[in-house]
Amino acid sequence: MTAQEWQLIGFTAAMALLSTALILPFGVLLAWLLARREWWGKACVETLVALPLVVPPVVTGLVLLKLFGRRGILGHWLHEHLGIDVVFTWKAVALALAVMSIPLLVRTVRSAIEEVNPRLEQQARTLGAGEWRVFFTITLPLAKRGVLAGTLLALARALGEFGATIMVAGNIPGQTTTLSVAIYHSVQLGQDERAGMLSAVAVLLAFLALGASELILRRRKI
Amino acid sequence: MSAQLHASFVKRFAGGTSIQVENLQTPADPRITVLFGASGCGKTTVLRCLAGLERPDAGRIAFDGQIWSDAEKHVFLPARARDIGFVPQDYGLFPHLTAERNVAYGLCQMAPRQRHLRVAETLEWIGLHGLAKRLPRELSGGQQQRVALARAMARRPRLLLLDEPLSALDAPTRQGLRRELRGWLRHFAIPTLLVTHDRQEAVALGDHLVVMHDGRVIQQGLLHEVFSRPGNLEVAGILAVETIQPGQLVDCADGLATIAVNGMRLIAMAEDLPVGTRDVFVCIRAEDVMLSIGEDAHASARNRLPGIVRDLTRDGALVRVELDCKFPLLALLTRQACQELSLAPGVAVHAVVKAQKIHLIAQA
Repeated sequence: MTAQEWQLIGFTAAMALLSTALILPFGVLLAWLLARREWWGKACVETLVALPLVVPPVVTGLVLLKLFGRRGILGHWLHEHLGIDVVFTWKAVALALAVMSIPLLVRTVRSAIEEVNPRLEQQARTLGAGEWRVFFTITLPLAKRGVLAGTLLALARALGEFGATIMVAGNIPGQTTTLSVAIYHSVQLGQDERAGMLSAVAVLLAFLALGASELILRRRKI
Repeated sequence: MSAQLHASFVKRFAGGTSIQVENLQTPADPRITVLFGASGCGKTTVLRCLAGLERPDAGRIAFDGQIWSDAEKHVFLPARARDIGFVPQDYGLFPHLTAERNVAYGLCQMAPRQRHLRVAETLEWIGLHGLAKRLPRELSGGQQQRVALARAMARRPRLLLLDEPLSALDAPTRQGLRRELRGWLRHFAIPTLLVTHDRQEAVALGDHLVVMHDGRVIQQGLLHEVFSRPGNLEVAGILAVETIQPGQLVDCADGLATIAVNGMRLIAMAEDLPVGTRDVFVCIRAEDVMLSIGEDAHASARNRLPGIVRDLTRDGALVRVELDCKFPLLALLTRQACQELSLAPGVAVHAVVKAQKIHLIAQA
């Protein structure tokens, strides 16, 4: 493999890890809110979070492009006040991966939290524990397998993302090109051998992440 | 008797059922209050409301002058601020923490060294020495119950709430633990409210008794007073024993125990009495008491107690006869039997009870 290809793999892995790290705290908090609290607009948020799973990724990418472009509501604000441009940079890659993988994280963590017996949380409260302590010492440890599995699932999803990424980040070699985008590009240029090799790397990465997730979920529960 | 806990509240459930508690009081001394009633009568809900895990829909709960819940004023003190110990029926042990760390969970306010000492001392007291590093799933049911009790008592809470603490255990474990539990409650001197549907458990552990039926509190008072003077037939039916009297063991020989009750001597079976017992409760069901006038009847029965009929109450085909045999004794007779003996208030009779029909419960 050439240095350019190693850069490609490194960049894709780094972006996937970054996006997963970004959605982790937010995703776990959201999963907890959905599992344990009743609030106004809950059904709406539930739908919104699940949407990227079913909407064509290209459409999700288009929505992000419109929102974060210079003339988009969020993009305009970010450019004016913070001087940050998102679209067609590595930030757009991380954004696309985060949006596309958060549904898997939230769903897995939510069902893991729902499986924790709420009576144990109540028990902790009778022992003087506040909500934060209950969450970090009871809920999270008892749901930790689900949190780990969800994180790995989200990571696997991020590694292979294509549709949303190409819409919002484009294909700028060395700057925004990810593994999936590079495979597509290689095929278009007729470089079948390169496409095949990169595909093999992509499959290997996804296999490792998914395999680890399965292993964690299958292990005997406490 | 100064009341410590005052509770009058209503908790409604979807589907129309509701739990109604009117003027529930637990005294600071004597300390152990038993909330007694059949399964499903709402005892657990009462406990959960007191623990702050359920929010009453109306009424108020106050403890030691502090308001825990007042639906009208929208006051609700959450469970963590009530300083209680709550042991649910399934123990509620944290499955991912060792026995030691379960017990330490409620002690996070203490300095690490003190906390360590407190945990070790509590585990030692409660007979879990050497099991500190075990996870709950590596402990037997009885040991798990000990950990749960240790965890609740280690904090020295102001009020201990125990939900059917011994019901999930097998009979031998239960009897052993019952005796120990009474000792621990004495030792730690924590006011306790204990829920049970087991009469023996109630009598062996309680000082004060609150009887519940169909989601309502129907009688409360000192344990032996409620047992010996049920306010109505409903209460008597729930308690299922009409006469319960404190007495002293005078002699024990050949499997028979001699008990003194208000100067009257009774003979009973001595089985199941722990060694060294002195104070006991004598339990006699009304249908086991026979009455005779004259001398010779029922010569085989060990107990012939002279007494005077105080009152007669019709109860369907039966009549409840209240006797005074130096202690109040209840008998249940058919109406025909009453007529044949021409029973009326003031008549002198002999109450006849077989030794094996007198049940003794040790007062710990």
